[in-house]
Amino acid sequence: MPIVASGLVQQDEIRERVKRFQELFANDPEVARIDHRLAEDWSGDFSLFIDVVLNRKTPDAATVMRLSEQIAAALLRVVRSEELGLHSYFNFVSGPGNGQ
Amino acid sequence: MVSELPEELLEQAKFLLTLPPNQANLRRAVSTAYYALFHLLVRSTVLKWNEPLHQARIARIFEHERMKKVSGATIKSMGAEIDFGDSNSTDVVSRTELTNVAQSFIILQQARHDADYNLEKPLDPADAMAQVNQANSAFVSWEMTRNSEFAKEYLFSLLFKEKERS
Repeated sequence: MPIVASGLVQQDEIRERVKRFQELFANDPEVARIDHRLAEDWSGDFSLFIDVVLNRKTPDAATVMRLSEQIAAALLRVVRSEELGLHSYFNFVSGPGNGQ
Repeated sequence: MVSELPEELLEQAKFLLTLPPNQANLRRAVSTAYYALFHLLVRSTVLKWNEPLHQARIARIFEHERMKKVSGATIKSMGAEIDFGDSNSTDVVSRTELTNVAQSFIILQQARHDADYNLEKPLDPADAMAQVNQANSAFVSWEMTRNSEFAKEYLFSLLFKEKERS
């Protein structure tokens, strides 16, 4: 994880919220794991990046749609990164072993 | 000025996902999905003006980065009052849907940047599908909130500098 200027990001709080976020999908059969990292986005804003690693190499459209809506809603409801001064982004990674 | 461009772009993004999932099709799908939402917000704003010449000029004022910052500020200001249950409150529904639009705009802007410029790793077909779905969801949400005072304030803020995140 990159070093972030003190006071800019409450990293402990972020970690705790991401943990709760990960727990929401811990039992989802389509999700292998959820990784996260703090990094700059395209415009240089420190941001939270979530990688949703899927179990299947070729997930069907219905699964991706369901999960993307649940992930987006959970980011707003549980992570609430904007109130900590961070944008949050998610990406899907197909198949086990990807997104390392 | 007024056109169906946003809807056409969204349909094009979906169509690109039906083609062979090579990198060109996937990356164009994500980029097109972002521009669909971008032009939806631009059109919704310029329609506040009646004069077509003014609409075209106003449409050129929009700045992507400022729109992202305003979207972040909007999520923050709506944060405590959004609802993911079955609220009957029109205000709460409008806030929730507007938050979805603002979040989608931020997410898609980064996805578009990655799709167009980040060649470090291939764009995953599932990710392209998720990003296009995010745009589609934003269109649905916008339809539900666009007449609310919150949405009007959001559009105003996209255009005029007074609500950027510090």
